Amino acid sequence: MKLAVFNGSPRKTKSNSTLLMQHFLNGFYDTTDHHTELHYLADTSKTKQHVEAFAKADTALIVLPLYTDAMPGQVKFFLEKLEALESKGKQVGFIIQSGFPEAYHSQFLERYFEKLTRKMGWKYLGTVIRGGVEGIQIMPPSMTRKLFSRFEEMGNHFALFGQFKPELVRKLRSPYRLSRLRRLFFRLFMASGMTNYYWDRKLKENGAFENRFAKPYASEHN
Amino acid sequence: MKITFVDGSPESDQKTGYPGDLVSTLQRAGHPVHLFEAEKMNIHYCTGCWSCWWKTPGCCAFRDDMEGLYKSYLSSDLVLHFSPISMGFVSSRLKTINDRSIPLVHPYTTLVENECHHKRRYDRYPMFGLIVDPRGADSEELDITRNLYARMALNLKSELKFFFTTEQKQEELIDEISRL
Repeated sequence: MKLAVFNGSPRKTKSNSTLLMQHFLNGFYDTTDHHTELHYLADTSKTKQHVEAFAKADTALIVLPLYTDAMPGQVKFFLEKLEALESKGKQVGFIIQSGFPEAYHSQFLERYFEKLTRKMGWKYLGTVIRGGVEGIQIMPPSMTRKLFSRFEEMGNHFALFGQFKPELVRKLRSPYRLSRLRRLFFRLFMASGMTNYYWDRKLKENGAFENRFAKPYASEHN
Repeated sequence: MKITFVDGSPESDQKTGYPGDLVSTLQRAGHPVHLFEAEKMNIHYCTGCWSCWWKTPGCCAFRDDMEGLYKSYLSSDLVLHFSPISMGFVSSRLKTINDRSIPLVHPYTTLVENECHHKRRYDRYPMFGLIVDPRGADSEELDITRNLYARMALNLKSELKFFFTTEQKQEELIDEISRL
């Protein structure tokens, strides 16, 4: 397998996408010495190299955060550059992560990727969706251990079989929607201010807490 | 109705004159229109730094041409986006403008229609409409684009009121707007 990984996070190396992919690739290299290349699509000055890397690979993984319900602008920019490329038959898989806890938000983009893959004549390897990813960089290891080990296992399986492990795809997608019970907890956490803990901590660190409801661009309408 | 019109045609695009015609049609129908041409604007990609959420609440770290657009959005009744479809979705320029819209909402989350969404920062948000030049996109691609946009509008505390293509008559669009 000649794998090229395209990381679509605007935060590049300091991103949650990168963290998840590190675990995926750890698992990947456990079982194979296949050659892989890692590219950061937010380096938009290197788009030509990214397109060449896509052209040379037989398998491509595009990992990205959900940005305003779709792909970040930098990822769309890269996709536009693939339009003129003869790329039929390539195997392409996607990994979408979001801050929203439920996978549901990402399924509209999943549908887009599935259609794009068909239109381009690529072989669709599927889409992994993971919600609730914001904040994983400051969570204690006990909270992220399972998530990271699943990505490792996914990478391992991918190296061996050239596809995502269906059982893990299913597990990572949970919760798909917020159940009644989860919504109840959410409301309780909201009432106690716990849902805002992460944001409040950062706002306070930056001395911006008092100003958090600012409306700098308000007009007479707002 | 006060309208912000964003022409998301890319720089390299074969110009059709459609956006300009439509803006004239809207103005003739009595709507004040503020036109923004994405290709002529200086707009930095969102870098996910979240300064707008936790450093300078409501203000992006990049003080570029988005500032004028934020003000225009918030003082408009309706925001119209126009784009040719390429690779099954609106242009990357327009998508970048959407990425840069997050300073308009709050990082705090709440439940909307039993889903987790961000809280509003402002009391009032404009309605959204999307007009696309299909350029050969099939009905499935158009449907996917419409859905992605409706989701974006929902997260921007708004609603996608209509989805039009350049193959439809501009009069239909004017009628649609007059019914809002």
